[in-house]
Amino acid sequence: MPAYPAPYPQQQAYAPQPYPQQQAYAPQPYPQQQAYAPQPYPQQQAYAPQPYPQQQPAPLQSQVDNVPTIESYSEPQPTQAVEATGDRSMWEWQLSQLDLPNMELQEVNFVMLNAQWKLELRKAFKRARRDFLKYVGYHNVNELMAIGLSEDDIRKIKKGKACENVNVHVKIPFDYGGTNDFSNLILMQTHPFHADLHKIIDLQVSHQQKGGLPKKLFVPVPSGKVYVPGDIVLSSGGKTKHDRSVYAGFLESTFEQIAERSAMDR
Amino acid sequence: MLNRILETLRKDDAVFFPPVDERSLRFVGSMLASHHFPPIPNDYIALMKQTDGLLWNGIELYGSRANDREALGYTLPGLIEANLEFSTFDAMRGKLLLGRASEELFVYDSADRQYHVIDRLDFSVSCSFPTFSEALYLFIDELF
Repeated sequence: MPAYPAPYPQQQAYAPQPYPQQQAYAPQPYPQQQAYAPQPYPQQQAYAPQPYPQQQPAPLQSQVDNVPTIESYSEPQPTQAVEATGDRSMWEWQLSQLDLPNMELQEVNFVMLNAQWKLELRKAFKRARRDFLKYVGYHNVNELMAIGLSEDDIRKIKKGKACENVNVHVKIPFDYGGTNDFSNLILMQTHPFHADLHKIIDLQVSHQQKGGLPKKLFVPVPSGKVYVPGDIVLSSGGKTKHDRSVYAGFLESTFEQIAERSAMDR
Repeated sequence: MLNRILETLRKDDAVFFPPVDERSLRFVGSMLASHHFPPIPNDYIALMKQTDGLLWNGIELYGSRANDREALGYTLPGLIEANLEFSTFDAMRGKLLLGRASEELFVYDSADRQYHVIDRLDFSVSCSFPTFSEALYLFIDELF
């Protein structure tokens, strides 16, 4: 037999329902408050000295991750670069706060160096430094005198040794593409100029949260081979040009020695 | 070995200072400790007892106190001033700055009890020595 659809359920006829009866309002009595009765203070326990907790033995040095061990020095790791902090104007302002005239802020980018190659660069710097000092001692006497070096100091520099409070600075650091070329070296007074110059770099490096060097660095770069904070006053005339006379590069004592020798020959 | 090195440096016009006295040594030790710097190693104290600071060929070794070099118009910092300058660097934690050359720092690391020559820029170690004399010799080997 075919199945017929079931008929719609029959709707019941509407019949209004009566509203539920609300209970008549009757005021309730306030809850009775208990009468105040002072409570006794809790009894304090008498003081008895407690033994010190046993201290855990200190972890071995090799177990501490943050502390470098001697093994970590055996293989030099390349320095990592991280994002730079601040823009050029910020570091220009920082430079202006320090008394470092005749310097230009240069933007340099990080160059990933092989750790061994960097070590070689540093070793080579020792030789380059000595040769650079000799070069400056013979070719930049005016500038050396302008920064207040005595004849004894210049004589020492001619032998390839730095006199007191004088240092050779690497203008562009090795990690940023600098080399040991003489054009990248400059002789400058350690205190205050070399120390102040590094403060600008230190500020940028110390801002790094994760360690490492910033990808972009603003380096104050002085020009020339000797950093002279003011104008150079030349003894042989001229204004700011190098002394190109035949006497340039010689000390007064040299002329005295020449005079003595020539007098003896006579 | 230290005496021999110092004698050689003296002949090569290095700048020497009067030796440190016990009172100054105690003072600088307590100051360093209060700033959480490592204590001065014994072989560096041996140097300070001969010369409280040293200057030679652009190398500076710091003494117990700052030295005012009035004739040259600058002040050589002492151990406290020099270390405070680098106290904000994580890489210098646990290290005592003893001196500096051109672009290098000379530190004592209390973690491995060794002397290190580290880069001025990124503080990476370039060489390490177990004693102070050996570390000092690195800088002045050209004299021997």
